[in-house]
Amino acid sequence: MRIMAVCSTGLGSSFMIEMKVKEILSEMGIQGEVNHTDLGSVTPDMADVFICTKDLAGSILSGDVIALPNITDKVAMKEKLKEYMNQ
Amino acid sequence: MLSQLLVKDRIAVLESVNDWQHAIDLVCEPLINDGSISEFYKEAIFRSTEELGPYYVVAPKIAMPHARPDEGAIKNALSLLIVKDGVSFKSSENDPVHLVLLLSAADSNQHIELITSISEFFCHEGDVEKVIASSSVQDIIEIIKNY
Repeated sequence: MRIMAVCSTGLGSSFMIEMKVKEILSEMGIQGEVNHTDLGSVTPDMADVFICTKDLAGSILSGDVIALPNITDKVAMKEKLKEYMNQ
Repeated sequence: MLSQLLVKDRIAVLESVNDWQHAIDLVCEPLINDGSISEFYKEAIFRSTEELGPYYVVAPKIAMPHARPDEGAIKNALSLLIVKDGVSFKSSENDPVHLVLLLSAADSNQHIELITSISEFFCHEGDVEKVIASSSVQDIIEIIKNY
């Protein structure tokens, strides 16, 4: 599974999200490729799912998007990732 | 890293501000004055907020405004503004914002360490609440010294 964390600049919240997603995947024992990028670089083929703050989610027009209201809430982030994987 | 960059003259505690634009103005001021960011950096934040919405409101009460390194970030730097009464950034779920942490990341290697340190702080909700409740800059410096 390829997960791409996105924020407008590719250096702030996307990087924080990437760190958390990596922690979560490792806790769940799931192999995945996690990276982060800026909104302008997003292409539909670069990941299976994009993950970003809720206020930016509407700006990502390609592919599946997981929107996070609170990037410090790891429990909620894990739930959303599980939900996506069980689809 | 956080505590190294958040020195006394880069922290402000206010009861209230007029609106989110006023908050961005105030939090940018110390870094413009000491040459860490250019005026253009602030304008870039305003412009991208108009275009994309409050993309940097990352958690309840917390905003981390920033633009791209090539938009006027001169040095790695931080500035903190606490707004006691809170201010609306028109965020879908995280208003009112009480903690505004301006990030200027000029160096991509050092910024990894910096973002890691900020993330650790934001994830310790107790310390974030204590900082928001602080009435003095000295109290804030004491709380964040471990980050």
